[in-house]
Amino acid sequence: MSTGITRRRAIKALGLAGATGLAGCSGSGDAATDEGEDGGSDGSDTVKAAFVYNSEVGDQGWSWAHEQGRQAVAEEYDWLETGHTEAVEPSEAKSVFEQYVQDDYDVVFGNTFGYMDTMVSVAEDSPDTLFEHCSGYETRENMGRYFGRMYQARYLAGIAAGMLTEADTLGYVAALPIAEVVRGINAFTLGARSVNEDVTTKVRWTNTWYDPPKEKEAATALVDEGVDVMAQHQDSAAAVQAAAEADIWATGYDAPMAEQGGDSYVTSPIWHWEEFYGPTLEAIHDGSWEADFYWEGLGDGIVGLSDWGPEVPEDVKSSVDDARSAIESGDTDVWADSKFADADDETLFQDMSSYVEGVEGSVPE
Amino acid sequence: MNVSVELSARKDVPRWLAVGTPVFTVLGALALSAVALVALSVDPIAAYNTMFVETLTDPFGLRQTATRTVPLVLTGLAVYLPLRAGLWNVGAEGQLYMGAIAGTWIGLNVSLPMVALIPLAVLGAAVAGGLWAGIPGYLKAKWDVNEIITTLLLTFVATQIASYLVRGPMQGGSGNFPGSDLLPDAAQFPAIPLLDVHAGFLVGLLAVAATAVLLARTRAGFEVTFVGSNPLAGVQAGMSTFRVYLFVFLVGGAFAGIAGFNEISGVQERLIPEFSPGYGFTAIPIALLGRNGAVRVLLAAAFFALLFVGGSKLEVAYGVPAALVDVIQALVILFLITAEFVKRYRVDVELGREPAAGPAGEA
Repeated sequence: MSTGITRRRAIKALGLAGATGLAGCSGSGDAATDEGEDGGSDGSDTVKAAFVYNSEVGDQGWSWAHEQGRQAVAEEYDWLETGHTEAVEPSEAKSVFEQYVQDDYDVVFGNTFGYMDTMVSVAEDSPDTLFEHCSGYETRENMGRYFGRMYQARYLAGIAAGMLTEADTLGYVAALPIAEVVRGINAFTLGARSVNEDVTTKVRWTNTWYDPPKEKEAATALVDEGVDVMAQHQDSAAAVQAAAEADIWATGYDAPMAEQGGDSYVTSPIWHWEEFYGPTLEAIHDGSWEADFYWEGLGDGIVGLSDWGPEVPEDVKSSVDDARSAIESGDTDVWADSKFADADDETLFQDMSSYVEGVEGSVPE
Repeated sequence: MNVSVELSARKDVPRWLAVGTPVFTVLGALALSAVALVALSVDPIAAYNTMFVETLTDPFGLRQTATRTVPLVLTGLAVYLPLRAGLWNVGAEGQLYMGAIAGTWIGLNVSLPMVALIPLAVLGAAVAGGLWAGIPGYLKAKWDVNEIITTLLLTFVATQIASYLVRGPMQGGSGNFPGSDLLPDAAQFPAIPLLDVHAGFLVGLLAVAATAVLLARTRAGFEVTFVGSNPLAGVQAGMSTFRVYLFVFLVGGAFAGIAGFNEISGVQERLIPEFSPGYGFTAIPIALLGRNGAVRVLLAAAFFALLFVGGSKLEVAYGVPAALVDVIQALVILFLITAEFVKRYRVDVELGREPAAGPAGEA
């Protein structure tokens, strides 16, 4: 019995040794070609990038959009190796980040605000790994952050909503009362009021990013309150679906939600994360990466609108197109006519904690 | 045709069955899960190698497994101890949250050096968890209110209280994000030298030792086991079921409460809503598997920790969907629990004709 185990162990040990030996050989081979090609870049030529998502990539929402970005860059660069993990709660993030560091990944992208503390502390312990955190406000030498000016696309969706509403009442299913979400509500309302002064927006908070039944419940409650255009800041299409069932207009978020929105679908402010992931990974590849804050908008292509729904009138489409060009050229500033007209980027990004005129109620404390 | 299934409790479990069942059932569950892995074109052998062997052979995997074991063993004990007295504490999750709240509050609001602050916070967490479990314990002991229902429902109350506190009175940090302030360093478990696992691990081991000694060597422990196997005989022998029932819930709840603070102090560093991925519920199969002794609870907890850590490693290494890893874990648990049943009972299935149709006298 014991000899059997020993023999098995010995075989395994031999196997391991063999594998390590091989890995060693191929490793040194790679390093040699590296030096030959780029003359002295450090490490190996391949960039290993990990993507950690807070929800499932099949959610047709936030993580889905990031996953689209990952797939696009994975397709584009043959020197890139990617890994991803979905549905990682912030409370579980530490072990996942550490696992990627352990597996020699060059950069770890984390896609939710809740990862921030954890990422900072793992980044402190892992100075040789780069980190990129989406939507937070902390940077370190080896940790950058990135986001997009989604409020510009929200503003455009608001224009469409303001033109479409007959009840002059818009509904907004919102996740958590943090600056990012408040910014979207405000921009959407400002867009709507730029074409229709009588509009008010009713907001329902779900206190969760991803909980389809809860999102749907909030949307249904808004429908009962008489809204006739729905907007949402959630990670699923549940609110759009509820709006379709109630036969009212709906704008989605994150992903094109035409399928869930049916005939009364308007459009969705969506992400094109590859516009960030691509250049960032290239910078890591050629060694020019530096920790900074990426926050671009329509002009850079990181945010945009999905295709129009089947029954959106032409005048709505052309008004939105005009506004879009005006924002891209800098002629229109989303915040110009609001109380945030003089706010700098930092205030807009971090400290937006109250509604603009036209939004009912106040931001929960 | 008549199918009769007869269950009879085994008088003694053959040794091969006792040792073999867990091994074979785990293998069975993995074989079944392999179908899904193959469907995703992942090599199951390599995947299981990553999940179990690699996790257990590198220091990083071991460290993570040990860290995960802490909340699982403590909540496991919180279910195990009442189970010894014949009661079901299915609300360890809620007791864990109450302990986390109390411990975090002490950590944030009391300024003492670490050597005093951590024990105080652990004590506070134990009291909070114990009292939270004490409510169903008292209701059971005094009025025979079904403890399964009360412990379960109080769990929802506890998680909602935690949810409210981190969005209201205990909210800290910035950005209006739900969560308390970061615990000061003095309230965070230091890492154990060399092992690099937070010191809450030792608290978990101490709790196992304390429970083992309590049950094997003390009068109170004897009464717990006695009342658990036959409450009426216990009363006949002059034992008080009231005291025993209240005792197991108070102590069990205290363990779960400590688990909550340990997780905040050693891993999360601040109280956040839904910080537990259901430790208190996973504790139920852990206690069932470990029902024969506190050390077995520890082993079961370590095994479940391995399932979680290995599962996460599997996701990272192969990019398999999170849901599949959940399925693998659930199958392993399901198979193990079923095997426990087969081990304890003898199942005889008999196929025969309708008894009335058969000639009399034949059996």
